[in-house]
Amino acid sequence: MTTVARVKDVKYVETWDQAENVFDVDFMVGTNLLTVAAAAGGTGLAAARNFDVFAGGRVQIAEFEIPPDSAIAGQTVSEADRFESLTFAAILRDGETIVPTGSTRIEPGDSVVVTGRPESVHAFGTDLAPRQTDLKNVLIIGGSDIGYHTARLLEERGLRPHLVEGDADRARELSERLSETKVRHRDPTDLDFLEGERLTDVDVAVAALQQDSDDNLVASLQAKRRGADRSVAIVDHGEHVDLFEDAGVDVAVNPRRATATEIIEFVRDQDTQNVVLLEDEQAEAIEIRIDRDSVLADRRISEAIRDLPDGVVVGAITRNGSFLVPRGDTVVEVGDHAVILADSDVVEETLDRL
Amino acid sequence: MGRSPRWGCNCMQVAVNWRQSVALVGTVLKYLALTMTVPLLVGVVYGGDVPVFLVFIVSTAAFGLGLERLDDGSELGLEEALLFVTLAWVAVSLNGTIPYLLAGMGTESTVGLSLDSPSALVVSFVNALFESTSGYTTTGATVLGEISFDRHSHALLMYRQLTQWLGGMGIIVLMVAILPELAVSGAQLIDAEAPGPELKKLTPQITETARILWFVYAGFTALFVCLVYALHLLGVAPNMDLYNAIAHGFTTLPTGGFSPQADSIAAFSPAVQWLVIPFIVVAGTNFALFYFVLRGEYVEVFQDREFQAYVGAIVGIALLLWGLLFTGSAPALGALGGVTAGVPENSLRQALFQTVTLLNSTGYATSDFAQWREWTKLLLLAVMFIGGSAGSTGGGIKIIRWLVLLKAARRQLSKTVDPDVVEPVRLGGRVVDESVVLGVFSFTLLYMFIFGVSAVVIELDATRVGLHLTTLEALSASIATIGNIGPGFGLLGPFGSYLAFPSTSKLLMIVLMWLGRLEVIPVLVLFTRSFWEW
Repeated sequence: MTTVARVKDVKYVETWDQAENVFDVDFMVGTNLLTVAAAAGGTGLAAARNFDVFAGGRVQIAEFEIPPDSAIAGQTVSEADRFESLTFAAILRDGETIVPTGSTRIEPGDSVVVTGRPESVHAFGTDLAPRQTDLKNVLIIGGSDIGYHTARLLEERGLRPHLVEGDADRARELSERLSETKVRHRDPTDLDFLEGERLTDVDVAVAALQQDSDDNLVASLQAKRRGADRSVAIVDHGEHVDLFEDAGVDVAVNPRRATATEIIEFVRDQDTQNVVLLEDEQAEAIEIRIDRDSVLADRRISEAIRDLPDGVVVGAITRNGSFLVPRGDTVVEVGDHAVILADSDVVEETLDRL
Repeated sequence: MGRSPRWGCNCMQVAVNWRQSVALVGTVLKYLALTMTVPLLVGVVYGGDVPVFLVFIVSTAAFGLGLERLDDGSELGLEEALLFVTLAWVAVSLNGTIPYLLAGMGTESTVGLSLDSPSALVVSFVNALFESTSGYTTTGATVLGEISFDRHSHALLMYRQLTQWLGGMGIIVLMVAILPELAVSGAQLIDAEAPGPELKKLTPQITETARILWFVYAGFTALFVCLVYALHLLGVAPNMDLYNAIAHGFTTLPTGGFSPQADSIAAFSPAVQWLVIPFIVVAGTNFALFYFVLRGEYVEVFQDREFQAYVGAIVGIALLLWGLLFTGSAPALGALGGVTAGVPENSLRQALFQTVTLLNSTGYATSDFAQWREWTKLLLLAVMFIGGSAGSTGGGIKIIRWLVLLKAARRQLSKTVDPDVVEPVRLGGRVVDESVVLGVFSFTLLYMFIFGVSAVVIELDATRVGLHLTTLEALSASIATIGNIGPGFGLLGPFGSYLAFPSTSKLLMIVLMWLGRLEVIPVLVLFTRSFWEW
């Protein structure tokens, strides 16, 4: 199955092995989990509207909306390009995908799609929205799998989250697996608990209870009412995401919203490894393994791009596991992984030629 | 139910197959007889005590073969294994008295058999048992009144060294390494004998692990002998002849501390003293780590928390002691330590040597630290409680237990503030099982309890016979024996002896040495009712 190819990183394999449902877990690890972690803060992705990881985590792609007060609003791309191994892949403006050149001016309200090493993407995000990155105190309510992975990702970014779990054995298990997280054994739906917890100190509360959405809604709203700055809730049903956010939850994440992306991935051929839809399906980012028949194979990008439709950008290349910044004179080799950004209208055509 | 333990016959049903345990003790003695060809050979070369060792070898082998006849071919269970380990240590120590008693009979020797009066017989026997137990348990405490080749033969003093080498890595571990029939229960046997709360399983097969441990142990011993003898050949260690090189090889790696020289390591040149220090450090290191070194996995060694703490403790304490000695905490000690005040090299050497030798329970000395200033002695007393690493030959409470205790105590503090926090005890990223934490607490509590009570008993017993003993000296006698260290302060100082203690105190100390060597719990469990009952 194609999904197996996505689970390349060793640390994901463990999760994948335990999965009852490959679809959910694969998705959870790929994108949605990062969404939770990003919403919880601690990554430079807090301001991102959309993002995904490619090449087993070595390449990230993210879409940021440029706020009017941002330093780079009004700058040209070459002025804004101060980050190491970061590529400005596209600018999305008024429903159009603009392929940026060095002189393209970035306007407030634009969405900028950048690809590159995770550190560079995070640095860019941090630069855009510095206020949201000094988050420190994250409270995870519920030790479900999503709760566990959220804590793990936050630990990887140097945070020390708190996690509350009602079951004693599960709490012990989590405390053994999460060395930097403070695990508490308490019934998280107990109101007294939220009273006792100093929630005014909590920057973000993530509701990830095992049971169901209602508890997550209540817990995140309670946490917010009692002083948490931001709240994130896991939602079981995709159609409830908006409902949650209308009710006052800052970010609602649905683990099963993957389906659309997953299906596209399945119908495409085996070499396509990862797909993400950006800006309400206006553009797609695709990770593809270059084979001999590809127009990119053994050619310089500046030449090859002429054989591709307009609105296609080579965002990033990984070769033997290391990251390359694609330039016009970069020669793409057979076996490289390339992250291509393409306008939705020309995706099929592009894939044919690659 | 036919048998009820509560009423009816007051006798209890012994369910432990003790015959099997005793039969295995016979096997241990049988092989032990073989090793005694070493002192026999020394006797042939240097002359003296050859008949003693011939008798010893024959009687040990005969006794062993006799006990082996109890073997009924059944398998060794957990109870039988525990019983076997303790019995083996008692039997080996008892059997080990024979050379002392026979060789010293009719001489001035304090451990020789005396038939002058019943009380003299008891005293001579207790002395011999003390010396033998101190040897096998690698304690290094002595009741020899005078250590010299005039009083004792080269063969007997080499025998005394050899007992420490055999006891160091463990006679049971050696048995598991060479006897295929012990492979099944080998893990339990080694657990009962090997120092430390848990054994690093190096290989899936326990026989293989035991062989690796002995191989590393013997390898370091050989290296030590070669290097100190090389110093002799180079001319920087005039009195470190081949006899002394081998004799000290037998007692350095097992953290023993016996020496055929009355002045211990102080009898040798500074070059020898410097060379002995790293080998004492090695002896207190987890031998499993050297297995990783052999396989080229150096990172494993430096990431080991216990090793880090062990080296850290040595460096920290030695630096503190260096400062104290340099500023005059020791008087001029002549041949036994020299002048340290204001002398950088000698004060560093004395500080480092005394730190490593007392910290991991070796008990060698290059300075008469019994004459150091009072609070320097208190520091040394505290050092004696640290102990070596798990899986080393060192005695004491052990570094790894202190780490677990400190971490568990810190967890308790944070639990006081946050009662619902769930936090495992971690050591270098690995979670320590709660049952191990509990075991460490129980061990340390029992150890400290026995140490305290024994110190009081030793002091009272000394007062009973009119022997003057300060509290510090009584405390040092208790920790030096249960910690398998050897020297203490006062009359039992590094160049003194335990001879003056009454026989009752010596018997208590013999028990303390056994308890310390087998780490208390495997011995005490034999005295519980549930051990013996079905």
